Amino acid sequence: MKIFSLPLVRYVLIAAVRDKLVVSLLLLLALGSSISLFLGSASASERFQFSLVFAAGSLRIVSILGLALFIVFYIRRSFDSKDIEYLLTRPISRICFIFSHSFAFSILAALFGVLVSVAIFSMGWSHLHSGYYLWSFSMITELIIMANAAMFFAMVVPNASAAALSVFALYVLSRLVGQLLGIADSSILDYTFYAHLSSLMDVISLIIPRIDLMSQTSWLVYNGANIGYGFIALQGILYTLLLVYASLVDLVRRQF
Amino acid sequence: MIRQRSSFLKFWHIYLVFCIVLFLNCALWTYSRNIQQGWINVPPVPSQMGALGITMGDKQLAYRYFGLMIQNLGDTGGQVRNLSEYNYEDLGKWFFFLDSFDPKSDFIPLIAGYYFGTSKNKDDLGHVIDFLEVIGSRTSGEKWRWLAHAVFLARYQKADLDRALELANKLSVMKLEDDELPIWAEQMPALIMMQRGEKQAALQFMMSILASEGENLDPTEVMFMRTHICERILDKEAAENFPLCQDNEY
Repeated sequence: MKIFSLPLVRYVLIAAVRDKLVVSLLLLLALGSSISLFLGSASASERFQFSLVFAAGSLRIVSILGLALFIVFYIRRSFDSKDIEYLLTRPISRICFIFSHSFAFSILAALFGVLVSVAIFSMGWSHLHSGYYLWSFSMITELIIMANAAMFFAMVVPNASAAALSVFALYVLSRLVGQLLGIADSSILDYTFYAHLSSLMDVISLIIPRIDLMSQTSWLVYNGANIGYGFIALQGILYTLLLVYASLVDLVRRQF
Repeated sequence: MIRQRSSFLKFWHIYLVFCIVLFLNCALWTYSRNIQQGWINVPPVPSQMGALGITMGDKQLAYRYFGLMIQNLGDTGGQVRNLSEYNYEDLGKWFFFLDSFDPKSDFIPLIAGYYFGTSKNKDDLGHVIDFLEVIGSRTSGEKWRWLAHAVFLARYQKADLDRALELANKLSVMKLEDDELPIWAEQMPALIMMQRGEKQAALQFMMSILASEGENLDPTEVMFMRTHICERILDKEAAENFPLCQDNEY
């Protein structure tokens, strides 16, 4: 059984170009970098560090938003226009459909990550050190995770707006989960009710990726990080697989 | 043309309401045009969770975002506030709060020492000195300079000899991780006790830092020190004859 279709991957990538996704991202990168340079130049000291951190922080959010919105609306549009039903009547299995889409979205995510990294590089290549490469690798991994999360929510949630909001909610939660777990672990929560809440938080965090540990802008400013390539790659692979198979479970159960 | 005219006649009440609403908006503008946001002074320090929520859990971004906010506090809507109007107690809390996000950066100590440390209100300076004391007590890198600056503020800005001597003693016995204190820093208690003109002593103090640490400092910090020497310590006539204050010297 064929589990991967190159024409289908090409079909998704052409849709991204047709929707002017890459052009929009390039414009937003230019705008975000310019605003960050402007804001950084307004600081009394450490101007380069300010510009770098503002650019890295804002471009990360912009690329996540752009990617998630494209994927969610692309998939929901495909459902509404019966494209998916049509594709599944061709010699493309449901497994092939999900794997091919996941691969295509991951390519887009990697492209976004590379473009953001190039934008950061162009802002201050002479000041960057090894932390930059770790940040870039982490940025690409983070985007791949969120691209597959967007695919999952677009498959599961029947409304495009609700699906997009669910992706953003997951992203915010996964960027704050470290803080939430820290609060849950603190001794302040010694009442029974709060103790139950902190246990609930532990359970929720089982299926939330630790994105707060990834792409930290402090890596760009200071050399040395508490997280290595191994953890980032492992989390990227494991969580992406979880999302891909969750999407697959939804699709194989679906009646057309 | 005829069709447009008939549309206007048929829906005249919609055009009328549109014109009334447009007029009311213009009327409201005449009221709101000159209203500026009120000065609410230094805002309360948020919780760590609240600050990180704004920056999506990114501590470095939170440090830079709120750092820039603290730097520009009071300078909004074309209005500039006098430092004496700031609530320094809250500012002190902000300094410590932001430092917890990035203890390596010198941005907040610089803003605290060279900007907020120029307040004429001696009580306010206590909060700045307390903050610089904590930062300057760190033995890594060049952080000891902030303790020296705390001594400077206590001695020459706040004129609190006891506090200055306490800080100078603390500085003189510091053991740095990867370097040694310059001689003048080790002799700080004696320098503080010397009975000399305030300005002359303050000048020597700042020049000592520039001479021994100038090459390690951020260029903007050197500019802050130069401005402090030329515009606050020296009077106009003395500054014109002082080499550091002449153009192109730095």
